[in-house]
Amino acid sequence: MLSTASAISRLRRDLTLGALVKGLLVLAAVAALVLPPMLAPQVHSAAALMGVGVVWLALTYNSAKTSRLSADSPALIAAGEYDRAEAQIAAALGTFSLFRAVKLQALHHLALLRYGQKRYEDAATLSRAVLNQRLGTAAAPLAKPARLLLADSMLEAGDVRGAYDALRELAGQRLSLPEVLKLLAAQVDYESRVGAWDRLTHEAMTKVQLAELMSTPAAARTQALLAVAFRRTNRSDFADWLAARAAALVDPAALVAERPLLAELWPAAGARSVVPSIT
Amino acid sequence: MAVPFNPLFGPYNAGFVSQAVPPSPAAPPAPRGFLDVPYLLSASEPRRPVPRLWFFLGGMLLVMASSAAFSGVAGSGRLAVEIFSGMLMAGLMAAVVAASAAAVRRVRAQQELIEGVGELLQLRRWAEAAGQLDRFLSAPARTAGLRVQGLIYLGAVLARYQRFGDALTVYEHVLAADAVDAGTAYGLRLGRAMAMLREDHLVDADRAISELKRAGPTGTAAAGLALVELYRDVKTGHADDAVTRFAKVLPIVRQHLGHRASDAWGLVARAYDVLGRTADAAAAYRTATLLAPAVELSRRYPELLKLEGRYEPTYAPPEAA
Repeated sequence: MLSTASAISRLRRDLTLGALVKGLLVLAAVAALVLPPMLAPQVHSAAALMGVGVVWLALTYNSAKTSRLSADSPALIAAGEYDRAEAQIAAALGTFSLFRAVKLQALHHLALLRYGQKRYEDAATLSRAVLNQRLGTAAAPLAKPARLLLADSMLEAGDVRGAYDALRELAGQRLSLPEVLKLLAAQVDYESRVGAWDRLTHEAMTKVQLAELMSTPAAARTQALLAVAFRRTNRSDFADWLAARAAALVDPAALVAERPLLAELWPAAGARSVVPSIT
Repeated sequence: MAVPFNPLFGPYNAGFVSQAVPPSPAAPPAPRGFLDVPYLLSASEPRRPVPRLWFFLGGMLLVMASSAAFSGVAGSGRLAVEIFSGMLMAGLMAAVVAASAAAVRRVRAQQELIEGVGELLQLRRWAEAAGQLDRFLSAPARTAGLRVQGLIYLGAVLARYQRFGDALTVYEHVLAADAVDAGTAYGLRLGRAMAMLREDHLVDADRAISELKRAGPTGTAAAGLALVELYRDVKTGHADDAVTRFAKVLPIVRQHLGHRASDAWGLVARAYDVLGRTADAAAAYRTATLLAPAVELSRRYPELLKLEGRYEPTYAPPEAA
């Protein structure tokens, strides 16, 4: 298994090497234009430049192939095939690439894998390593998912302050719908931990409608946490409705096991199922 | 002398005039309907790409040949030829890079548009999604992949607008093109089977469901298939089968379909109702309407209209209603 420290140090080494190779290629292109007429008249500038171009194209092709190495890993992680995902990511991290974005994406995928494996501190360290790099235009789309993953990992690891810092960076940014959903889930989780009940009940219906678009566990947890907020603010009608919806999606015992705070919605959650029984 | 007005042959007879004068080649095309499927299928075909790489290689060879032809020139003339050919080569490279960057930008813009349509569909903003798809598919797509994604979304919009015949045409077209991965193809086949059921093509739907079962689906695909089978059972009056199936598939439906589990609860409520098990029907209908509004469920499955008024739905708090 790839260790977090070795993955990060390999990333740094490869990024430096990539920058060095790119710099050398630019220098070689300039030299191909300028030097032959002055020092070696028998060499054509055009042929020398073409040679540099061919090397550049070959490296670009190889880098593009590397980018495909770990392309399937998010799907494998989602399907729970962690060993195959790990092998793909290790291959992508171990192969030279001219593109920074390819390397950074592989490290982000490793962070996703560690999150899936419930190794939240590793996931947070890897996400932070991605965010600490200069992302540039090509890798800029990684910034928001990496920050969301960092916030999520911090919350799961119990670092509420760290999660707040990560979430704060996302405030006011333009997000895609899947990013909005992840941010909402993390924000509701964070606000429930700090007891910001009034804030949680603000624009509740928008939150509920968005929660309906989340994956089943996230939808159930988000609505259950909103139910607690409504209960704490003496809105039992809303609280009961949301709690019943959450229970129709996921067994309350599983929700309580993940977030003990939810035991106040289902005190006997472990003892019985709240969903209507089917005969 | 004043010319008497003749309603048939006079200048005010627009029909006559339009028959007498042949249409100009530059006349605007006849207006088409909204989401005209045959038109969109043909108009969205991508154009052949410009062979930029061959132009670039040809240009390079030309520059090298010209440079070699003038290499016999002596002294400062040779230096000028070398510098000029080097600059031409650099210019060619810059032109290829600029053209490629522009092409990538155009593809990225279409990609963003298609992603936006996907978000609109998730947010159930059907009219906006339909408008954007109509515009997008009215012109050649930049890539075949973007076109296929647009067509998949078009199928979803058409199904929402209860145009199941058109949705079937789109699904068949995409599946025949064999341009999607196995998971997406399975999802499309599920959509096609559901559209067949809605169009009352019951024999075809049954055959399609058998094929889907043979593929041995897991996860979300299995949950989707369970839903289609439940609907088939309810639609064909096999209420007993629906109840038995529901008990078996409830765990995967809950796990993978999220709030769309309401569909399964609604369908089993109808099955209980047919069997006269009113208490079970009432409980299932309450759960169904807890997860989705009754009006939405009846829109998806007209058979559930019969439950409205017979059983109490779960009422949401006033703010949520």
